[in-house]
Amino acid sequence: MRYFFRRSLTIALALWLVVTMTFTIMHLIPGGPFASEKKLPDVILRNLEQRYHLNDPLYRQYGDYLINLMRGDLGPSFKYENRTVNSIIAESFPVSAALGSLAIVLSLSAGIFAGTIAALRQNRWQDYSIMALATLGFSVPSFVLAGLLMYIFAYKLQVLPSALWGTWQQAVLPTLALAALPTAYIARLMRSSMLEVLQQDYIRTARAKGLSEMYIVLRHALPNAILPVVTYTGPLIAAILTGSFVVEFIFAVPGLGRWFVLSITNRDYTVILGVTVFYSAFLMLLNFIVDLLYMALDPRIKSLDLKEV
Amino acid sequence: MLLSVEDLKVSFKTNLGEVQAVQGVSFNLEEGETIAIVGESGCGKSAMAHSIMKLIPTPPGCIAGGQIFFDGQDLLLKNEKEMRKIRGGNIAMIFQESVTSLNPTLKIGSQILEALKKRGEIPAAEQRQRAMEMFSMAGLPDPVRIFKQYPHQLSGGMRQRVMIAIALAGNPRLLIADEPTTALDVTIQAQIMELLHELRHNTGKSIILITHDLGLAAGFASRVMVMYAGKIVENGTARDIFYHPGHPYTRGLLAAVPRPGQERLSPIPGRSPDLINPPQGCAFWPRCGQAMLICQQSQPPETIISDLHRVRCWLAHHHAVGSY
Amino acid sequence: MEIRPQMFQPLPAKRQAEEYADHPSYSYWQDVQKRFMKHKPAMTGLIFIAFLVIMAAIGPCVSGHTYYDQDLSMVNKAPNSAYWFGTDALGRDIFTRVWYGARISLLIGLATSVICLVIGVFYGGISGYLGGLADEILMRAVEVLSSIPFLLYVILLMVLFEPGLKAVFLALGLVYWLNMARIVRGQVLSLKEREYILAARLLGLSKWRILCRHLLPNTLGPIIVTATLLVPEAIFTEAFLSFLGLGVASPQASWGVLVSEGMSGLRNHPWQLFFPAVLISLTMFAFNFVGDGLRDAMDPHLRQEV
Repeated sequence: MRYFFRRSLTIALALWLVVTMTFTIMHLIPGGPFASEKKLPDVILRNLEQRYHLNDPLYRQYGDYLINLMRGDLGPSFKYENRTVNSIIAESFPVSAALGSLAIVLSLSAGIFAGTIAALRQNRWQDYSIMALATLGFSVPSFVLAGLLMYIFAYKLQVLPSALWGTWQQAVLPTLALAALPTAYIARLMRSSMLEVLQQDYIRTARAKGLSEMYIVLRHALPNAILPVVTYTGPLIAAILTGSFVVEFIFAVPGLGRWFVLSITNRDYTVILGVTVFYSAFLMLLNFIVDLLYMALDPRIKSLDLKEV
Repeated sequence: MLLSVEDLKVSFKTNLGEVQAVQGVSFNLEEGETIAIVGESGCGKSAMAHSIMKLIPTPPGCIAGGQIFFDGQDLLLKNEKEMRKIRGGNIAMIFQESVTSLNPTLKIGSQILEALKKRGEIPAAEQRQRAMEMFSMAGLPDPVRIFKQYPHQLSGGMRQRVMIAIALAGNPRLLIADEPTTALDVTIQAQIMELLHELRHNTGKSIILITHDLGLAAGFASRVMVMYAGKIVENGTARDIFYHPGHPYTRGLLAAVPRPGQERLSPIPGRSPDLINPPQGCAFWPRCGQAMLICQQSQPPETIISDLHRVRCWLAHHHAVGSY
Repeated sequence: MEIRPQMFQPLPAKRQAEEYADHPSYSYWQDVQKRFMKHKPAMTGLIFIAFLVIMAAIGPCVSGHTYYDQDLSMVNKAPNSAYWFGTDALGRDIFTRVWYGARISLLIGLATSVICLVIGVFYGGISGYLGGLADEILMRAVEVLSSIPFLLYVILLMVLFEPGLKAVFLALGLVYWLNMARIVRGQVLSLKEREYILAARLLGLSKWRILCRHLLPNTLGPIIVTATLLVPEAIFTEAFLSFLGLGVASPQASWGVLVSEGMSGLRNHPWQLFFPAVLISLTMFAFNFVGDGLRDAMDPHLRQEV
């Protein structure tokens, strides 16, 4: 389909833009990557610069970078002698993916459920309490929430561990901290979408057929109300991704987010650059998939697409 | 007596106040009869029709009083579960906007099948066939293909036929058609009315037609009721209404129909009444060319003009001069 | 009531005319104001913001301490009569630091909102008005730029710039205008369809005049809402950055810095986290509520006509 082609082009363009912008930013940083080190003897400094081609003209470094990128090689880490960016990503991304997936599943299920209940019991206590919780989840920043959760559950009540990764108990607090904002957002979205759908004429027709309320909600209302949530999936994943920086950091979860934060503090430029490129590519790909999913779900758009472009 | 509505009152709470949509409406319907309820938008006819099936959304809406006897039982006393049995199977409804009244993301087939499935009366194997029968009865040309299509792939007229088929699926005794042709163009309108005529003759179902078109009503129903501002201001046989209209509003409606050769249109002057604070007297007095002092002060009682012809107007009172 | 024949006299026509006396109609802004004031959460939010502004102004002055004075004999003290919110690990008064942080957060929130407003309105307004190919190109650019998560970019920019308040403004302003531009352009496009533009053209007004006087005032609704909702987002981002050590630097006391410092003392001195945490949450609550209230108040669909 022509849509495919156009989208892929946009993505490639965007990706190239990301790489170029990030590269430029990295190389604009005054002093270069080794400036923050304690005074290194000149010889060693020059050796390092040689090794990393830092003395080559900028366009050459850029070209090299792009070529390596095509090959999938993101370069070596500046700060950790024996590690490459690729290996860092390969090692830590699965952890982030696991945490992220848990958070996504939690926020989607809790959010959709809560939003639906709130819509069905509009203006009653269930609605008010759910919406109050949602506003809370919205407004309390993830790092604040992480801190509070840690304080209450790990220090005061001592029921859950405060750090690291591996057991299911260790997964609880980070997942909660990460999922709070998206859950709140999805609940609100679902509620307003569901309320709108329930006003629709076809719901009235379904009632006129004598169908039960539960059936109507599950078969008619929910599938239509869920579409905005599907659209939100893209930004959802982005939110989880950026949220992971802080949550992984606070809970010392060895994921890519934590590495990213560390590399920023350490000014490890290749890692920063590589991870940014990786994240961007990942998100763009995912957004693309979500769009396809949306098209598959709504038959109106499906039939439009065949005539479109 | 299949249906007997007595003193029905329905209101809606809005930001600006409580709208008195239906203010004490009463009428009867015999088995096999067809009646029409005519009025302009906002007069309460749809609200009343929806109340019969208790389809009024109850947060803003509320059925404030009255009784609706269907087959001898007061529907307003029934709970939701009991109403569900009645909806679809005993009473069915056809809505105005077929575009929005059908679920856009479900195939037509599923939408009619679900009306049949929940009945439980028809075994699964026969459901599809029965659905096809309904489609044919509704005059749909290619039932098998339509089954697999989505609502947006059909034309307005076809969609309305689908709605009719769905309404017939449960074999209801009473069919309520809420402005079934308003959203269609004139030729399709005629086709749908033709269909309704056929249904009436072939199946003997009772039909309530809701419309703003007096001509349509008189051509279809044996009895016509004219509603204004939540009340029935005149009811009678089609002949009575057409040839001997008693209420100035009815006369206004008849005069407002454009006729060939007419040089100027003669609409009814003035605006629709405020239903939040209904006027004290007859609701029509601000627009009535023959209004009298008493019209502003108190509501006219129902006067019997002839056997089936009643009017709610002070002009019919023996003190009033002329007119009758 | 007794019915007498005199009552059947015809009604004088002027009585009928009186019946149609017009209801008072509100102007658009009055209507918005009325509806906003009915929205309880929004009003609560507004009151809190007012409180916040007052405290941000006078807070650091009333406590008797400055935000940077260290008293190493008074480290990590719980809230008491001398130090109302307690002290931090360097003996600084948390009360003062919290309200100083309020200044910073409010400043950042408002400044970012304003910057994004200006950039977004011009970019989006021009794009929408020009239409055609120019619009396509400009919007494609926005689309492509939007596919990159904002936070990533802000972080990168902060790595580039020296940490500090001005850098935060710059970074936020450079990134968050995209959404605003999209909204403005959408509004402009919908307005272009409207009749009175045609009328203005017929009167011979110049293109610039049309832009300023006719197009812009009517797009204000969603723009105001977006601008309002940008404030909590900016405050959040700044706190996030400061938390990661990228934003405002110590000894300056933005809320993000305070939360970050509070985290390290969490186990034994929870108040160090508690106060900034509560304040930042309440502030975001308040702005979100106000934004919601504005959105509901300005939604033309809900505008009731009698």
